[in-house]
Amino acid sequence: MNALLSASHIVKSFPVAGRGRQQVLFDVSASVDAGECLAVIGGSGSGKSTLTRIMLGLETADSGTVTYEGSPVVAGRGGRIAGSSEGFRALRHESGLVFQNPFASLDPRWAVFRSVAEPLVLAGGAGRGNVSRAELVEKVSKALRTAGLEPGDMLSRRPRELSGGQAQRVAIARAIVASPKVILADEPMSAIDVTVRVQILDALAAIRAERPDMALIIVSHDLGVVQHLADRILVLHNGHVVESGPVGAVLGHPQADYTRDLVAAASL
Amino acid sequence: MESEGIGRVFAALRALWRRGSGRYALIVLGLWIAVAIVSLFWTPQPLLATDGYHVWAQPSAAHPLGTDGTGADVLSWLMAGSRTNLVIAVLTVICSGALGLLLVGLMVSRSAGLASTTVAVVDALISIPTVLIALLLTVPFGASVGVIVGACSIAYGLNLARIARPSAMLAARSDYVESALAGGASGWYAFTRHVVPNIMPVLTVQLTISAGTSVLAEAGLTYLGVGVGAGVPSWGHSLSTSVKLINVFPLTVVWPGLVVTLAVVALNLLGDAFNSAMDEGSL
Repeated sequence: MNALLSASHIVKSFPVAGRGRQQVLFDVSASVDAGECLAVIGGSGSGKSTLTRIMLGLETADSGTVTYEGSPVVAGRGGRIAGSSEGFRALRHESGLVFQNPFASLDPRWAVFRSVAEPLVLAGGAGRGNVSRAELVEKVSKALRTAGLEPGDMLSRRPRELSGGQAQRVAIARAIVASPKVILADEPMSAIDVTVRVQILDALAAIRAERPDMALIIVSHDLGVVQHLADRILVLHNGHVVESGPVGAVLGHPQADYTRDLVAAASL
Repeated sequence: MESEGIGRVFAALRALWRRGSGRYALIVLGLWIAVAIVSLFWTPQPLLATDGYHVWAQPSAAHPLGTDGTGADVLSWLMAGSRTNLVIAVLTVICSGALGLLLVGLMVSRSAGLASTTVAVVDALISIPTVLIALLLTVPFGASVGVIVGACSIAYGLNLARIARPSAMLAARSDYVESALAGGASGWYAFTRHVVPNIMPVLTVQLTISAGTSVLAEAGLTYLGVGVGAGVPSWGHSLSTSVKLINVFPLTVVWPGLVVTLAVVALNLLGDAFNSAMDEGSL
């Protein structure tokens, strides 16, 4: 079976002032199937956010290939990236993003309705008159409900009028409103109060139940979250994949020392 | 759509009117615009009417603010001058705003080379004083309203870009812009829909200050002979023609000075009122 989205032999380095370049990913490969939830875990600076951002075309790799629905969409050639425009555009339009800080991921001057509707407008539906405002409201309301929010007066609220949990669920609604095939959630709970994390978990679980074909890539430090949501885990350490496999196997019987340390630290 | 736009303008005016500083600014600016319009059709005396027997005359029924050294009516020249200064202020706001936004757009560009080059160019050019730019422009174009607008627009546009860059950079590198770009938005879309609205408070304050400073610049440049052309009414012209005899006939200097002060203070307070209203979310 072909993976929905895969990254092969990704190498990535960043310039460091006065010290040349620092390599953060060393020949890393990862993939996610339709309907699957892949969790990428590892310590700070392990390269997990960089890898997932490269997979969604948000960052360019020094070398390696990203394949979406069987077609290469970005390929590294001697440090230069050549985009396959059709496939790359499809990946852009068919993917959603959920960031760590919900307030930073919503335009502070935009009402919830406008923020959530933006992916639909960008996809050309509403902007070109293909979708009426009523339909737009309906789609936005549906996305909000799926994310666990009652549209009601929520549509006209600005981000400063939302709690952290509400803002993150609005961000999730924004990510799913255009029915993407893949969602990247980069540490979606690390900036959220512990008491409302369960609301975000429930929202993500509800979305997976409602859209069984949608792939979810979640970057997290929190093994509890990973255990709750993920089907498969990829463990990164210092830019190398140290272990990958089904959640039960990796967390239940970790093979690598680093994974064992992570599991032991989580159970403290 | 049109009624929504008109509604927003009225809402903005109401938000400004609720503040003392905003009310003062709106009254002064309203009077300025009204006088400029009226002066198109009527002034107490014709501008070219001079009376050699009544030079430096005290205020009277015929000349409410007195006359200048040529016997021309001071009030008429101030009224006509309000038109020139209004045009200079409005054009300076438009041109410096356009230049500033263009530079901000280049400075927050995703192309690191373009962004850093623009920052370096702005940093280098910002050290050139407005007067020097005006002098340089006067060489090929001669003293005119266009030279004042050009000099002010270049100087204030550079300044605006430098001041607005940090807030623009924050917005341009924000997660919401990244989301939009990832969703297929163009750089132009991200700049106009996300970046510009989020730097609007800084832009508004800077542009109103620029409008006020252009009034002062007009007065200064006209006094130096590189401002409005000879015979063109302006507040700077009224000041420069009477300032040489300030010790003998101070009133003729006081009136244009007072008008310039009222206008500049009003524009500065308007910027502050805009800023407060936007901070509160009223705009």
